Amino acid sequence: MALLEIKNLTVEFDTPGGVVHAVNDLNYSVEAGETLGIVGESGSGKSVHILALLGLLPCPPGRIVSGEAWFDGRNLMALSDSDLRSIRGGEIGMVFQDPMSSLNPVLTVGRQLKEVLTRHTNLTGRALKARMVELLDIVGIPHPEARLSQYPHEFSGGMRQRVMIAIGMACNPRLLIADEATTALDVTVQAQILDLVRQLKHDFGTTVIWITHDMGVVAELADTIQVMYGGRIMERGPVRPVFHDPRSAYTWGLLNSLPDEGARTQRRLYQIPGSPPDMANPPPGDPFAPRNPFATERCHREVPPLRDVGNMPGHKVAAWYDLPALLAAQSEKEQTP
Amino acid sequence: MTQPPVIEVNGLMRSYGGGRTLLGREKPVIHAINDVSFQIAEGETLGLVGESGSGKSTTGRAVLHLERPDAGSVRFRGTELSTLGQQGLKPYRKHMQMIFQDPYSALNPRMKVGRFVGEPLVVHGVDSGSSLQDRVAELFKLVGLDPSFMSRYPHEFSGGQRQRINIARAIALQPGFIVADEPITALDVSIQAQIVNLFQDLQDQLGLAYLFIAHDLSMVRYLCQRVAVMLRGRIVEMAPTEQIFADPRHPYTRSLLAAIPVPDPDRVRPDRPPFDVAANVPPREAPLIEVSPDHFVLDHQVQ
Repeated sequence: MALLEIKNLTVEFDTPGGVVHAVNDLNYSVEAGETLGIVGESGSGKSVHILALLGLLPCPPGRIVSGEAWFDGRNLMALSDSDLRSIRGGEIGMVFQDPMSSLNPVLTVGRQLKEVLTRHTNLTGRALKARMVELLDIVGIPHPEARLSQYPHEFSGGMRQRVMIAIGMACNPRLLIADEATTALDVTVQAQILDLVRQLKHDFGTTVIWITHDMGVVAELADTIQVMYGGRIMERGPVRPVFHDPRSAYTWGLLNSLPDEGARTQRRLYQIPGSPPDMANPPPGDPFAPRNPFATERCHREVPPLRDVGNMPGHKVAAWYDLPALLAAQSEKEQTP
Repeated sequence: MTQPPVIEVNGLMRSYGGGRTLLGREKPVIHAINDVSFQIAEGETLGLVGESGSGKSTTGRAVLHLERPDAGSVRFRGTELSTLGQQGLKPYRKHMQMIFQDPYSALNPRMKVGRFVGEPLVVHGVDSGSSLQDRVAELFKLVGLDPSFMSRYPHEFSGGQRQRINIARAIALQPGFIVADEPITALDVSIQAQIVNLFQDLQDQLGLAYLFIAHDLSMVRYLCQRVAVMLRGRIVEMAPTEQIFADPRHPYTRSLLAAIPVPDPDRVRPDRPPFDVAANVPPREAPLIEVSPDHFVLDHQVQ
């Protein structure tokens, strides 16, 4: 059963430089209990589409041109602001990248947790306090009772991000959305947060959308990976086939540009040529075509649809070309002098 | 080390705070870096890793004397820098450059990028006039930029191109040593490999030595011959790269290496030994000891 289903979502921005096509006819769904890892870089639409479906997109300059986002039988895009507010922070928990600007600096951490809990639950008095202490304890903050009366500046970056996760998880959300939630953190703290999310999934069956640019984090955490570029899905599927048998030249490029583990065997990393696209003037066809050494004439002209590929159900790619065949032909050419 | 050292750092110290506030209250002294010592050979890359606040960037700035260390010695090709005044340092500044994390804020938004890249040549009186233009065009080509971009402004460039511009300026005076402070962290993933390759190419062509400050350990493993791990202002372990990855001795190094997310879904996650940084401040007087050739560990917790 899909917990979230996004249909035909298109988002634009009006800027002095023209209309920026941030999200283009996006369609996907997330099953209950699934962890979806969304990978993309600037201009991929990975963050904008989430803000749009949560009603957090600043409009103007943003504009939702079309789209539906069905969450448990309700279309989020058609809900009133107050209905959306009662879902955000309650059934849908959110953790964003920058804990310093997401927390209110003049309110204690306890006060901010309390705000979320009183809005979305019936807890009061001692039960409320106990839940607040429990939440800080779950996310691994030492001395939770004393910490409740402290202000955000009294916490380190890692501890603040834990507070954000505690707030995101406060009402046992059915869907947790994290956007680059560990990017600014040290790797050791990131590892602790990922362990924590796995624990929460295990204990509460939480559905998770984890947005990141780090393929390693996706490999660790996600069931399904969705690679976005130029406001579109380039490839999507269970993590194993996508990592081991990528069908989009962009996914392949991202994976190959990472250093190999083990001895330093390569002298040069594979590098994706060019720069991310200017979405005020997007390429007419496949958005990755201008940077894709395998692009065909059709790639430059026509946007490819997302189609089933490989032999694992759910593995899909948006590409006119057959990447494994092209890679095989290339390595054959390299071997014959 | 077959090559002579380009940089020798010994017992470097830098602290902030101290003294009294306006109201006469004592300000605590923070030891940002404490007894930091290392060498970098000509043409070598030393990686410097550690959590935020561990003193990596302070070390980079103190080595270049962009910030005067409180104590300790820095020698560049044998010359002691710490005893030199600002004027005395100037000739050495040519040979030591810095590249920063944020490629945009390092640029001057009102200066055409060609002038920005050529500025050090003018300041140090190396070049002027039309030969300056030729030299800047050459630098643009060296970092993979079209020389026709010289008359453009920074906002017309993407993040990766901006970092190329900063690199072109940094190598303009043909330095022997560059401190690169998280130079790829702010770049898009698809651009990072381009810049890492550029660092390698320039090292091959110009014989540069780097102090590469980073928190992406997989990139450090790829790019650096040796790695130093910092914790709370001290180097707690330093060794050839493969040695430190194969046989980390300090518990903090172990927890750091175990935390690297590996882009392989079949990989079994290692057990992550908990490491409480706050409870493991390295003692000030603990020495680094050599546990195997060129492998140094702070001896308070060798395992």
